[in-house]
Amino acid sequence: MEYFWSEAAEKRARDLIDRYPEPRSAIMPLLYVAMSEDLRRGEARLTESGMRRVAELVGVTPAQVSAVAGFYTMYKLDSVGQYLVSVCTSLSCWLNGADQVLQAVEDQAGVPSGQTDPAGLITPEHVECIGACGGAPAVQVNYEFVEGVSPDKAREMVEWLRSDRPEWVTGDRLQARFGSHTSFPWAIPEPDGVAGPVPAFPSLGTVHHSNGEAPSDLDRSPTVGNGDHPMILTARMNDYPQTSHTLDVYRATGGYSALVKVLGDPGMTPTEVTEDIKASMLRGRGGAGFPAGVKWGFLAPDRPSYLVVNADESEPGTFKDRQLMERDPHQMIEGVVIASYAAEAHQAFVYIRGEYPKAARRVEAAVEEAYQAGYLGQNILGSGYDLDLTVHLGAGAYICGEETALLNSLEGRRGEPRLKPPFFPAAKGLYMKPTIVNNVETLANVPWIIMQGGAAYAAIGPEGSPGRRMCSVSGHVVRPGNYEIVEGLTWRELIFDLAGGIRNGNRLKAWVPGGASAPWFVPELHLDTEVTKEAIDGHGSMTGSGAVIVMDHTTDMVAAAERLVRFFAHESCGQCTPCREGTVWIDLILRRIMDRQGRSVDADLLLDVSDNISPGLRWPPAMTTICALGPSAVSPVVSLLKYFRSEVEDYVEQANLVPVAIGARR
Amino acid sequence: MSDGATEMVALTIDGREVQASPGELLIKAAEDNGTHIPRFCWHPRMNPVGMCRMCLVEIETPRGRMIVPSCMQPVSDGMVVYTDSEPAQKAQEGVLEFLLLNHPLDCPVCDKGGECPLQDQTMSYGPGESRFVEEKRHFAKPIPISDLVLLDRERCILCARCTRFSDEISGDPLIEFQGRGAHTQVLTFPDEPFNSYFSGNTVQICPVGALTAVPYRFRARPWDLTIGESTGTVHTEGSSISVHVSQNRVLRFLGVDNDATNQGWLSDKERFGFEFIGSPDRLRMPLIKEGSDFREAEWGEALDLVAERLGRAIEKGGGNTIAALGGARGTNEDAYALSKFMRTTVGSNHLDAQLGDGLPAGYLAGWAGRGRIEDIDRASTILLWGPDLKETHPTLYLRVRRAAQERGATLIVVHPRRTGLDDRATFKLTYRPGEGDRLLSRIRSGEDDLAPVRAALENGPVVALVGRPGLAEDVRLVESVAAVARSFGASLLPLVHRGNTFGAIDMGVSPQLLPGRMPISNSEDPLVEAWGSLPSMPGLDAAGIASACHSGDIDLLLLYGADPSRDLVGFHGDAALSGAGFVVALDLFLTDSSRQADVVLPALGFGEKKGTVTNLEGRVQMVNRLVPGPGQARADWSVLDDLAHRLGRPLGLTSAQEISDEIARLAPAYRGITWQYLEREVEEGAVAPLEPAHQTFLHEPQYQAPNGRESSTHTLHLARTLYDDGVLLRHTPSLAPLSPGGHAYLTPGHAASLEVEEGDQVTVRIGDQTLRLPVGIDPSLSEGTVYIPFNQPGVATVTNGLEVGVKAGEES
Repeated sequence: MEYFWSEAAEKRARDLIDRYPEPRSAIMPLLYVAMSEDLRRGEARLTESGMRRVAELVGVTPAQVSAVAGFYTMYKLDSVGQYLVSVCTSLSCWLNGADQVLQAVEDQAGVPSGQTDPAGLITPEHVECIGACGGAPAVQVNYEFVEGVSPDKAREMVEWLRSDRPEWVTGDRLQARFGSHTSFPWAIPEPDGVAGPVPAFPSLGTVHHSNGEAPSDLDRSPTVGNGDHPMILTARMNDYPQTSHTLDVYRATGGYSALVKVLGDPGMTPTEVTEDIKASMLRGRGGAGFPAGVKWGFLAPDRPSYLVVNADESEPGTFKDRQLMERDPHQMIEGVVIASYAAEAHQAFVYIRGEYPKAARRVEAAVEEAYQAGYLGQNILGSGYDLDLTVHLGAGAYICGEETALLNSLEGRRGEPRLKPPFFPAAKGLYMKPTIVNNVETLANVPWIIMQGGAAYAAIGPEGSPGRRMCSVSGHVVRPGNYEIVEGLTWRELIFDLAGGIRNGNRLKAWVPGGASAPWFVPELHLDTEVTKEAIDGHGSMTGSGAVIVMDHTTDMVAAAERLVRFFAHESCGQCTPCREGTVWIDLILRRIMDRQGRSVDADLLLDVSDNISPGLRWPPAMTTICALGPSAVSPVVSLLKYFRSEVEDYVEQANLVPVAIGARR
Repeated sequence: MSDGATEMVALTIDGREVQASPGELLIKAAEDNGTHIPRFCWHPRMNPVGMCRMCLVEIETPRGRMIVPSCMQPVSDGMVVYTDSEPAQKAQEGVLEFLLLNHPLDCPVCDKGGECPLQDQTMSYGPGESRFVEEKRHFAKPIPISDLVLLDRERCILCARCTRFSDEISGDPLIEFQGRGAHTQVLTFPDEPFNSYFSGNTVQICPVGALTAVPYRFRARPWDLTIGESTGTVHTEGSSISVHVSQNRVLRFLGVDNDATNQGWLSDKERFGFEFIGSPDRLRMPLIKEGSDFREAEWGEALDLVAERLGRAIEKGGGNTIAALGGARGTNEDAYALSKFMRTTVGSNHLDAQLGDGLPAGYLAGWAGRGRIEDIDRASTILLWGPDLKETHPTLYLRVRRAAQERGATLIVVHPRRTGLDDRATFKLTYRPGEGDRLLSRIRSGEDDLAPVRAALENGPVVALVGRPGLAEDVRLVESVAAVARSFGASLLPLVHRGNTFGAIDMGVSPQLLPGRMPISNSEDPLVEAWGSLPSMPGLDAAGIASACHSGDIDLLLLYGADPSRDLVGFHGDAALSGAGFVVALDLFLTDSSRQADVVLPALGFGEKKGTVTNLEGRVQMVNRLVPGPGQARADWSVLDDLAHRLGRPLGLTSAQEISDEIARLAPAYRGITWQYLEREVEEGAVAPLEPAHQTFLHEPQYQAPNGRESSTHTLHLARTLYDDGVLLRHTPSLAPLSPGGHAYLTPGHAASLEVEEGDQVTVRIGDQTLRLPVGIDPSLSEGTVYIPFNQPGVATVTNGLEVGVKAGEES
């Protein structure tokens, strides 16, 4: 049968290609268009014909397109059902019973993960962290979130999908019906949904616009924090729970006045903006914690330059940028325009992870509003400064949160990190041009700093890491969620006062202080230490992305470590040998130990294999790898054997070994 | 990178102070100074990627020692490096262990065993045993990814050498990493095989046995091979190759890195073309025609017969009734013998190494040795007006591609249809055959939209690669292009098709030239003195010879490895062969032409004789003898020498080496270039002449203004493809099926106006020739152009008339 795209899809394809300086960059969105075209033709997968069409459109070979497609988990090369039910089984969700939820979904669907029921309706799959850790266990149906899902509710939901066969699904309705607690107050109801296993996103044409009413009973409780200083990042959403994402509210609450200050009369020069950010001591909130102003100052003189927002939030335990984008997208956009101006960039991108379609919809709608209002586009606020902002949707690859991998991905390549040196983004970034890459939260701070001055920001909280920052708490706490904190409180205050302590009155066993890559903390040593960058670094871990995952005394630490290693093994790009082979090997050893096939040599073997990825097992880590993903997988292993070696030994003692030559894995 | 000769930096490697060029990569600097750092992904001819991590070393930094990949680390003054410290060694051993986790260790049945970097480095740097007790990764294996290459994904270590080669070097990224993480694999797209003209290079650079070549698979063990260096003669670049032989059979060719020519790369046609050498179809005995059949004969009988017919012809009509075609496929020594035989024994200037598809010999000889392939690496602007390099000059194509891509050289490509370099061209100008002179005149004056092209040509250094874009176009266009390029100070690289055309012309296998690039009119030279009295009447070129055969003016035609029936342009080859009174063919095979001969003599081919060949820049290099010839096959020169004896006018040639000495003594431009010189004194061959003064023949190309003629009908683009119906390809089983076949390519508009679609049959008229061909659609052609690939299997030899008519269906 002849293969062709609908006229609408062809037009969309041209529009998408036009959004990028180089056609190849449009490969990722075009693959989504291809998938939805294939869906329209009755095939719920990315077909070879679809990839060929994308190759023609951007002028590469089909092999180059499939090299990209196969790198990302959301491009389904094998057929899926009408409803893709993705159950997160990463650490935070697992701690809250995700395996039982997955089992329930599989049972109800009648097929194991990755397969589709005979009716072609339900495809259960287990996925790695989807950024809903505060609402664990979390599920997505066609990438629309449902949080706080019990096994029973999961069963009910699958049954409802199967019997009702809704033409389209929307997260808010699913949440109202099958979910419970959420990662953060959703508050703003959204009636739009999606009609198949592709993310619902306006410029892909995959959003199903409904006239139906949205549910109104979504959580509207405020986001809280510590300290006396007023909230910076979440103030607006707390004050306007239904409408904080709109331009009207944003302007009514002082929004875009920082941009006026920068671009108006007398205005500020790019250097003055950069200097102010330097003075604020604002640190990057993506994980590395590098001072943002200093980063901007590194920009090489070559032009054009670019600004890229890293909204590929996917470090397990982290869900703060999702809240900032869903609830207050203009705050970030204003930061983007100011930062782009400082970087003398005329094209900026927001790279949003594919599993955040709602955040992406909100950002794209806000971008549209900002263009209409003259905050983006030609001659912004009459200043003569031009800026285009393109929203780019990822497709399921944690590694694209690594800034150079993100740039490769944005160029329409596999999301493989580049070597630093020589490929520092500030010198050779997007299209080998100077590029600033900043995290969402980092940029969301910028308007406040410009309005109040860098010094005022630097005065909040401890010297060296001032300001308010988002902290995502998940795991076995009573009140998981995002907290807008000022550093300086103790871990006890954070876990027991803010997050309400350990569930069921259980004892605290350990916690991950700064995202899955961070070495663990244990109560005996760290509970009364301070939550400051300096103190955390000093105790051999990191602030990272601000994700805190708390584990109580019932936790099997070998299994917890395995969950984290499994995540990194799954997300390794495969480019460099130690990470590609080593992370999987470590995971296999851990699984073998848990399978009662461990040997007494395995603990040391784990450490030695780890040492071959991260020599010396130091902190901060040395590495034999290209990027930090490999050493990240090592980190939980080292923590496990440092604090809980006896749990490994217990498994080994109970091992049920048969000679290797005869015994296959059970 | 700096040229290094002037300023060097000092660094310390394992406690030893060494010198290196600043900015040079550490892995290279260490190697040049005697420290080998293990590696898999790094290849000196490709950009470093630092992926395999095998080359990790420690360097001192202000923050203490750091582990870095030496393939990504530029050296700097005062750098302190440890390649053998405990952390460096542990890191290297660790990487090797990781690589071996999933490697099948099936070395005993692996082609690479014995020459495998993974095997070698495991022996040198690896742990003795594996600590991996888990199940290895499994893939179906091996799987064919093209007609020539098989892939074993279990052996693959994902170094990306092959994928980078096809993307970065050859520009046909048909193999790519697919999947992610531990599931990553190299693979083609479904139904899009790895049909690259350069696929064999990936097999050669694969550091494990993941990619194997069908023609060599399971044929030999590396330690059983005898290896000799030689020079490829399929193309005119003079690629350096090594010939691998076992039990008197050539089993493979590998590319050798010669910076002056191929930089290690080979086209698949060159690489796998070895198969014809051992073909069972090779001629083993002289054949004499009886009736319509041949009978085998002894050499004595065959040579007596040929000598008798030669003698009779000379007696009857003089030397001018005898002509020779060919000589561009053999060695310079063979060509010299032909030139001397025709001039001194026979007394005829009717000899031509080119078959009407080349360029005027005067132009070629006049420019040989003056432009260098290396000029491409330094040029600001590269002008290519000639054949599609990818089809005819594959390693030159790679070099030009790289210059444009990596160095940003301005590339101007002028051709009647798309070419392999279009995606790297700064300017691509497409024109209709017959209108090239007008386009040239517009470039020359820098009119309107062509002003930037002219400006690029003014921005030297310029190198111009100039040849015939198509065989139907007026050959004088080429000289005009060369003249315009010269007016911008360009260095010229002439493009012709047959491997040793330049050697043959330099040896005087041309109607106008004597050996050493000397015009026949020069009677003062020592060579003329040594050769004695020479025929004074100007000779005929190939088309002229063919025409004279047809008209009966040539009585005896000698085919010296030529196949005019399939390969002659400008005259109908079969008509020439049937017109000649007596035809003698020296060949490796029975060809369409030699089948029509009266006597066929079996000759030695590549790999069976030692000698020299000359590439397009005038570089003289050795070819070597590694296997004996089949049956009673003999070297061309010795056959001619025997004939000369029988005719009582001996050539005085006793061995190929002696011929070479005679060339080095008598042929002006080749003065001093002996085998001994080439084998002992130089590494990359020697560009003739060694002394500029020995280039006696200079030729300045002349510009001819457009003649104002306009063709109202369609015009023909007749061009060669890499794979065609050439005799050597016919006898190379791995490559023979790859010829694209005969088509008449029309523009979409033309096809629509004829109401034909791809695959429909059309009737094509060129001059008095009528052909039936299937339609191909080619949107890259200018309106009014019809493209037909030359010399395709099953298609009659296409006439080279410029005007062409196409009709749907049968000719009425």
